[in-house]
Amino acid sequence: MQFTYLLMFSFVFLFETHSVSTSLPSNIQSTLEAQLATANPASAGLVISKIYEQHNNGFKGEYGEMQLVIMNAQNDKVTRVMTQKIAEVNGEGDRSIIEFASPADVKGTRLLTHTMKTKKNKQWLYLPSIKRVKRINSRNQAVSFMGSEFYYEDLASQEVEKYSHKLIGSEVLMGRSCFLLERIPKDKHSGYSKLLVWLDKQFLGPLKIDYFDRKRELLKTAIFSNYKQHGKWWRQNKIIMSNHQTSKESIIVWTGQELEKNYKSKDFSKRNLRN
Amino acid sequence: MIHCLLLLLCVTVSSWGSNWKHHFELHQEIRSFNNDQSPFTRDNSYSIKLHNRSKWKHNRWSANFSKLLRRDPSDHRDSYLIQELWIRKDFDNFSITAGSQIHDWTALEAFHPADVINARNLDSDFERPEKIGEWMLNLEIPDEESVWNLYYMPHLQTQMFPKINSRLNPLRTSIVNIQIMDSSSNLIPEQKVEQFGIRYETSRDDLDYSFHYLNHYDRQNSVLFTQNNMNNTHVGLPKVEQIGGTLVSIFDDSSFKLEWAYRNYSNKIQHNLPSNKVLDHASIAAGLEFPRQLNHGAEIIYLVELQTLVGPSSQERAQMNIFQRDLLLGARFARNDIQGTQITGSMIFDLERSKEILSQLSFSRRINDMQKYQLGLRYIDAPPKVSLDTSGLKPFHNDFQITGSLIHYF
Repeated sequence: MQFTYLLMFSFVFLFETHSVSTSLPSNIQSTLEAQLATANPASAGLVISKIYEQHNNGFKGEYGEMQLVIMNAQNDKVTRVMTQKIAEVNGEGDRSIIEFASPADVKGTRLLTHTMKTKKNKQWLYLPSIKRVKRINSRNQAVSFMGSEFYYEDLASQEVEKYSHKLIGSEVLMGRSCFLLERIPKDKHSGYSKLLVWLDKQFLGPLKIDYFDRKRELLKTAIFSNYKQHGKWWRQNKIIMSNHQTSKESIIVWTGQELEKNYKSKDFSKRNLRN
Repeated sequence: MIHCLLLLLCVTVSSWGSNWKHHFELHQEIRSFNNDQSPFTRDNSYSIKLHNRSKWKHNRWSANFSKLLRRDPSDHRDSYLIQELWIRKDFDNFSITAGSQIHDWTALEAFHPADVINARNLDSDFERPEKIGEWMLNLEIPDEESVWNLYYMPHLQTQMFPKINSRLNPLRTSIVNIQIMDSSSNLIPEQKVEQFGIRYETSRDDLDYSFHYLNHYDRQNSVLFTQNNMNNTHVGLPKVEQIGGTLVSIFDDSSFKLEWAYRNYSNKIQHNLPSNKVLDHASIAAGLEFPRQLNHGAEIIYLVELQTLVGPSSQERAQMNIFQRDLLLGARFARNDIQGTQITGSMIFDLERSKEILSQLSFSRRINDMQKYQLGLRYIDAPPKVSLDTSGLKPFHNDFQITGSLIHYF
């Protein structure tokens, strides 16, 4: 389930990538080789995704401070500021709270998400101006997050069970060795028909994702960069999301990040949103 | 008690230095009505509202101070409201909060039979009046997915009614006093009262639900007396026992919502003064929400809500509440762009009284990160008022209202 956040939050310095190994960690390499030996391309994609997910588990809790830079086709920019807390939940998807610090009219608004492995995610929105916690239907996943090119769907925990996975092959991208996977969302309400995901073999996270819309046309590309190591885990510190159909671009930059936080599950309850 | 709490809050908080977070909103508002040909009412007004929320946290202690200052001399709406002023201590398995608090017990968007713990400022927004903090001691016992709340409310917090010249005043009379009623419906000038409540709230899979019991003075269904002078109205607050609850259920394509309350009044009207009746009744509201995503990240949510009072006859229901058996059809469009553009429209149809429709349209958009504007239109299609009949929307016969707000955040 940690993998989910790697999809959105991992990042790497491109210059650094030339000086680090691009091979899989040895323990993962051997496990993967053993399982891939008997797998066909369809099951190999699932095997890789599950092994990546297992390796990325165990971070317990994560805290991040983020800036979301939104640019239009004329390169006019606005910046949104937010924080995020994530708690790992055994046997189920992660729980997270995003709190908005800007723009000023939504300051203090919080979005609580309980990610489910197979079912629809549970979401609540806290509106501080009227002290209301509102349960929201997470059906509308392909709606813009804060006017950016990110959809809520992109920012939610990307559980392995929510996609069909197929291994396309291995590629070198930006000088780094990657698996190229095709992922097809199982949720009929997803805004995407297909994702092409380049998974870095060292960072165990994505370097690039191509998103295809429901008409099967290329819609967006996300580039994950500035990966930093936190214990055994890697996290990206920058995602650039480019919309090919509107020429707009949005960037998420992490200005602070901590792992192995000891959050309690009740910190991610509906009641706690108000506090 | 209030002064003790204020003193306690000030002393406690100041002794721990400053760890406050502040949020200010300055609203410049205009509201303009069509000319009602009445020399007694104001059709246009301009107001300035300053709203401040300050939060403080230190280890297991936290505090909140939220107040609202409105300057509107033309419409006699000058007001200063303490919406919240409380201090809380969190213990391992429970927390205690003391002070003026606002709670939200809503599930639906328009009709709120369950959300009655706070008094309202009825001279603010017609559909969503501002809440006034209730002074209370609140014991909160949470576990992972649910929470118990016990409330003790020793102070009477009354509604704020529109002044005589306000177009939002359906009575067109002055409220001379607001007092609690004893069991014989006599008005008692007492501020210290015994009120308490308990609420349980939980979340299970795709279902959020809550139950509550309240023993308090009802501010939503008050008794209005007109004594000797017909231009003066006295408001009696009846003691009521209320059980109620909320439910939100998420389906694949929609959400079902329910709010309900049953009210059992201890006052039985025994006098012969002209007044409305407040009778034991159940109030039930249910609604459906249909979210749909549009191109380029936009979305629209369609709303259908229905409310009814059960128990009293249709004539009695008509006297008790403006919204006694109504249907709302509405939609909220969110463009989800940088400016946060939103358009909301709704129509409320009275299902019992013919030709009573309240239509509303609003638009809001950010100017920049610190400023936003809102525009609103409201039209009330209702028959003209006949004599002293102020039931339903008749006092607002064919009222057309335009509102505009420029909001600065800092």
